[in-house]
Amino acid sequence: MVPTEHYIILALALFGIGAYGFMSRRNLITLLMCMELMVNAVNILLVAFNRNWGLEVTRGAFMQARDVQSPIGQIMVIFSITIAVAEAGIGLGIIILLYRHLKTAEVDEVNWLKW
Amino acid sequence: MVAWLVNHAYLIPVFPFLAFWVIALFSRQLKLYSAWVSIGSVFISLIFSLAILWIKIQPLGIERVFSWSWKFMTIGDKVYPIGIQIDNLTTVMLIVVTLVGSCIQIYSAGYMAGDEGFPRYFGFLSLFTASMLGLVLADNFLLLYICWELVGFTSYILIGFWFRKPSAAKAGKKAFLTTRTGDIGFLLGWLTLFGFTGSFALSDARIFIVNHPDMAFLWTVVALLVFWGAVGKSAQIPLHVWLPDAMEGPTPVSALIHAATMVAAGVYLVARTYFLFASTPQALLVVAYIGAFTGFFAATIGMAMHDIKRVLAYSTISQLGYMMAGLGVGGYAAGVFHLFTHAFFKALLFLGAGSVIHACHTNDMRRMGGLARRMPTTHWTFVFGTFALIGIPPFAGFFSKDEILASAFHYGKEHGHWLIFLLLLAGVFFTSFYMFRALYLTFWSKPRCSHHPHESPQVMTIPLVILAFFSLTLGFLYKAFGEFIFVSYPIPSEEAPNWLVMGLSVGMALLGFYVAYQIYGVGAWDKYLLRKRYPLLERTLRKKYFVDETYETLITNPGLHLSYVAGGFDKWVIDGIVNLMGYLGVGWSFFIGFFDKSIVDGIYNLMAWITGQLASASRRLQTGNVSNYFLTMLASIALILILMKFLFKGG
Repeated sequence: MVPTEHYIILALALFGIGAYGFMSRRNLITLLMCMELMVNAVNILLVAFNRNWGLEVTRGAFMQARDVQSPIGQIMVIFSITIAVAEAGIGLGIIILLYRHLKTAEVDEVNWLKW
Repeated sequence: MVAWLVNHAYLIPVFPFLAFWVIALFSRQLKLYSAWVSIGSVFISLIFSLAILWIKIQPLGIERVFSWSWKFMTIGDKVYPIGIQIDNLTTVMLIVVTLVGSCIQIYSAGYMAGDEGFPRYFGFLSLFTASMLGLVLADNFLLLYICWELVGFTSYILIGFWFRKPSAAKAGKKAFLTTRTGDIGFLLGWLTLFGFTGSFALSDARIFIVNHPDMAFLWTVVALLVFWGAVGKSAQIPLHVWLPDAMEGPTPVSALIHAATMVAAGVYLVARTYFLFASTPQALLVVAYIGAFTGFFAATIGMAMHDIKRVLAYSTISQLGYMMAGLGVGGYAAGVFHLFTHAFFKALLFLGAGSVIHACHTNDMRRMGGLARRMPTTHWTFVFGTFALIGIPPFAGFFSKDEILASAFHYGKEHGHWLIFLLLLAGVFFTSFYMFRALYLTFWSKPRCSHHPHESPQVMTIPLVILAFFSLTLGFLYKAFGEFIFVSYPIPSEEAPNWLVMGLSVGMALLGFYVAYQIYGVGAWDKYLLRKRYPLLERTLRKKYFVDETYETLITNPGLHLSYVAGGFDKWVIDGIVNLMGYLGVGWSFFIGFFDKSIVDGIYNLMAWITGQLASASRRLQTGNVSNYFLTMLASIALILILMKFLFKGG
């Protein structure tokens, strides 16, 4: 069984790559991709932590067994993925509209609302 | 007809009063016809007065008293009536006021012709006549006092008739203030009586005084207070100073108000309230002495005057003194009779002087002379008036003045105060002297006029003739008059003619004539003799005993200074305090404004400024760069986590 530390390291690495990319890149699509990376890093952590500490969740909703592993981390990840997909859809839509208006997808130039 | 007139005699003062309002309201339309309105009203009053006289001289009519009474006011359940009453004294005064008044008003129509204030003049003359009639008709102190003040007011306004002349305005002011000084005494006197009797009526006061002889001292005080009013109105010493100055008014005004009627109101007042004076011999003695001194000293001043009207003014003061003295020594009928005759011949003299002034355009006797031939009517009537005044038999003044002298003689014999008689007798000499001096300077000497004077028109000479007629004939009524007045106030007078007094008075008059003849007639005696021998005496006379100067130093100037000081106090201290309060208010509001603007506004501005600074500092965080936001967010989360790790160990 792969130790939990590996998952954490993997997640941190993924998050670090995403964060770095989010801060250093200027293309909005790239930013969106970096965001996905960070979301997925968190998802990995959720799943990994569920395996480690999920057992302590004492009671299942529909089952009599006492020490059944709680699936709550996996469930959260399913939600998270769904939201991330919706988010990516909206984000891409916004980016496309921005591009239509501004003829650019560079994040530096989208500063209209700045004072 | 006569009965109807008498039954409605209360209307007597109403007609001139209405005339006043008609003239006052329609003077623009009436113009010269205002004289007709005024003369007509006084004529109607004259007819009423004559009707009363007619009833009175019927057999048994002499005792009749006509009276009317109206409710004046009600306080609580006490009713204060106000009324008029016509007894014999009132009848005499009515005749004087209306008869002399008619003559003078007719004369005025000629004298005032061409004056721009013609309607105004007749309006005020009507008002004066109305108030004077009200004065003599009043049966109570209230109406008497109201009319008393009204005649004073009209006198003031007519003295200052030519108010553009500063001296006339000043003379009016002086007359008003001086008589007002006296009026205060009268007011206090009758209010005291009112306080005791609780009634305005003279008859109530009379009954009360007769029933309370134990309060003699109070009655003396009240009598002297009332007399003080009479002193002011009748220009007795020491309040005589206003009458000579009152000659600034038109001459007919001087004749009517300041010779015949208003100044006699003081004498009338003493006669009317004689019950008050009769209750205290001391008050009567004061009246007699004041009258005698006035009679003497005014006559001596009259000798030194150059203004013909001033000579007559001092003569009036002197004659009023005789009347007062007559009343004071108990010659009630004599005093009133002298009032009666004097009204006629003094009015005549004033109108004559007015005629002369009208012709010569000057008041100064030194610039007249030789008018006898040019103005025969004026001359002869003036001579009649002079004879009446100095008491040459059979002119009116002889009888009335002789009665006063006889009363004074009688008084001296009984009570010992011979000084009164001597002063009055000496006054006869001076009177004769100054009147003949006036005659010589005006009519009989060589002409010194700058132009050719002419006789006045008939409208002026006819009243002169009428008055001259009365001056000649009225004296013969002395016996009937004595009986007539005796009804009004029963006080026995000297019955038999006193030949000694008569002889003395005529002798003094002739002596005065002789001296005047020697000085001004033939020039045998130097007319500057007095000035050369006794310069101080002459100066004293010419300066009227320095009374004006004394008053100026003692009363007028301190009063003026006091008012300056009061004015200064008002201006600097009172105004200063008010202004200081204003300045304090302004200063305080400046302070409040400053506080509001700097501190209160400052606090809000400071807060706004701080907010603005904070905002401009913090807006730099809003770079608009998503990466920065993200970095900040990450850093913040990391910071929070680290803090949680260190602060909350359990985390």
